[in-house]
Amino acid sequence: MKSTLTRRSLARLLAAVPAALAAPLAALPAAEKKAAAPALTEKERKDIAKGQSDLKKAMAALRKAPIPIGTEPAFTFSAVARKK
Amino acid sequence: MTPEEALVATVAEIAPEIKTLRLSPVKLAEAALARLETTGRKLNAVATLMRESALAEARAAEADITAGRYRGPLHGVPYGAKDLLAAKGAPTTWGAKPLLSQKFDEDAFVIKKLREAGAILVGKLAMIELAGGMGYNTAAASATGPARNPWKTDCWTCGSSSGSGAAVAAGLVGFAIGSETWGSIVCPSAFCGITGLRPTYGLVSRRGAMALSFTMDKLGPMARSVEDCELILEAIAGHDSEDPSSLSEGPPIALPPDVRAMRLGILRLDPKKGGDGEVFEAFEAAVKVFAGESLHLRDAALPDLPFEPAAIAFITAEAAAAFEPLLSSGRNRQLVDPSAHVFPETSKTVTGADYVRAMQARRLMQAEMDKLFDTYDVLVSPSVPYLATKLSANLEKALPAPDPLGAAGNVCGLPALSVPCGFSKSGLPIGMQVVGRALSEPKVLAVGRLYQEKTDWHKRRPTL
Repeated sequence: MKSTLTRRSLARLLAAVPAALAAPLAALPAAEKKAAAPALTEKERKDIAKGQSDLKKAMAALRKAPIPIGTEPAFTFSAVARKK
Repeated sequence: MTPEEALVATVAEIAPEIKTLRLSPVKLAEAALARLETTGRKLNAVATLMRESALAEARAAEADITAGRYRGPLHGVPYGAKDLLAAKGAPTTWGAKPLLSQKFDEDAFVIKKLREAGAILVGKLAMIELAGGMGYNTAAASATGPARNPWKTDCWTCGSSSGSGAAVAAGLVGFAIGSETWGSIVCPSAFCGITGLRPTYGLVSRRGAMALSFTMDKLGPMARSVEDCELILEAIAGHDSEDPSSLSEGPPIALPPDVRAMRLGILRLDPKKGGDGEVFEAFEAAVKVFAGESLHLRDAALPDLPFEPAAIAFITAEAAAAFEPLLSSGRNRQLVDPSAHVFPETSKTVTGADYVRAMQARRLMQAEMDKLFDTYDVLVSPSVPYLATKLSANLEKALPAPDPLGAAGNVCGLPALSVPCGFSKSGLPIGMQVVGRALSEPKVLAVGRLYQEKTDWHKRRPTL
């Protein structure tokens, strides 16, 4: 089997070693977090694909909406649109 | 009036009985607690009973009234709060299994206001987990199980204020407080045959309430009449300097002088997009009631803007932020509904640019909706185009019709009132909504009140 470790990835790995040694606690949780993440089931993969597909359709509709360039976003939202 | 009779009466009907102590607040609280314990549990409507504190509050109310210190129509009336409102001393679970032991040290603002008015908190009411913030597809998406509709217990109450809907319809409490981000007061009110008010965004402080969507969450009353909703709104509305979304002004609660001068925009739904025929028939009959009262009726249409996609962008992005501690800890996987398990992955589909785009769209939507209300004082439409679904239904398949008015009203923060407007042949309630411009609660309530003066759908009670 051909090794997948290229010169570039080897160089990256070596460059990362001193940082990991200098801050072992910072490096550890990331590794643990990755290990702790449960593997997705087939159903979950399907749910994710469906959820993403539904949201993509909705966001595409939002992107197509005729909103004039420069429209100020309603960052500070108040239901009172104007003085009555 | 006996305590049992009082539990199916309106607040306006029982208030004089309490004021004169012909009805004891203590006996009424005991009756409510007993019904919550028995019927409430069977309906999966209860999260937590507040027995000790409720009886203490009821005794204090009775002593106050005896001493001539009657506070008003809510004094001594037992009520329930959706379990996303913090109540000191009780768990506040947000309907979520991973949060069953969550407690807060302070009461939510609305609970404080209701205590000032003398109302008695008898229980925290069941809800869809996290108010559906991560999506849900079944009635069972709740730590307390699927809420059963008192009119037909193999049917659902709708969500997310499911326990509030069931408890009011079944006469377990005098009224309830629910919340709506998108449909969570209007839909359970329609499915359960009760009257619910979603107030203008910012009119009722959300301090102490679970945040799902910071720019769309509202709290409001769920009761047995429009008049009751007015009384409750009067008690809970008002500025709160500690809620950044709280409006500095409130609506005049007094009704406008001439409801018959008002212009009603009739917003019919397209049956081709889904819905039950009996809902459309009941709505047409309701329109005839208004026509018979000589109100100005005209067909209306919503502006052609992406209300629903904007609502989805807000809810998805804001829920991802609001529930970040739950998501990053992986505890979302303890929630019942599979949609919540994959929410960390799916929610990333909504980008920062999408969210800002929705904010831009919201500015246009507000302006256009405001213009629409130059032509009409209020819009009327079916609350939901469906009858209550079966408990076992896949909600995505059972409720596929779009909800543009619900999305528009919630994205723009507009008030909506749902009133019962009929029943199906199978005995399930049907609701009609009245929607108005921001802070037009007096108009919305006036139209609802006129309708209830001319009909008796809101007076029907389920047999349990």
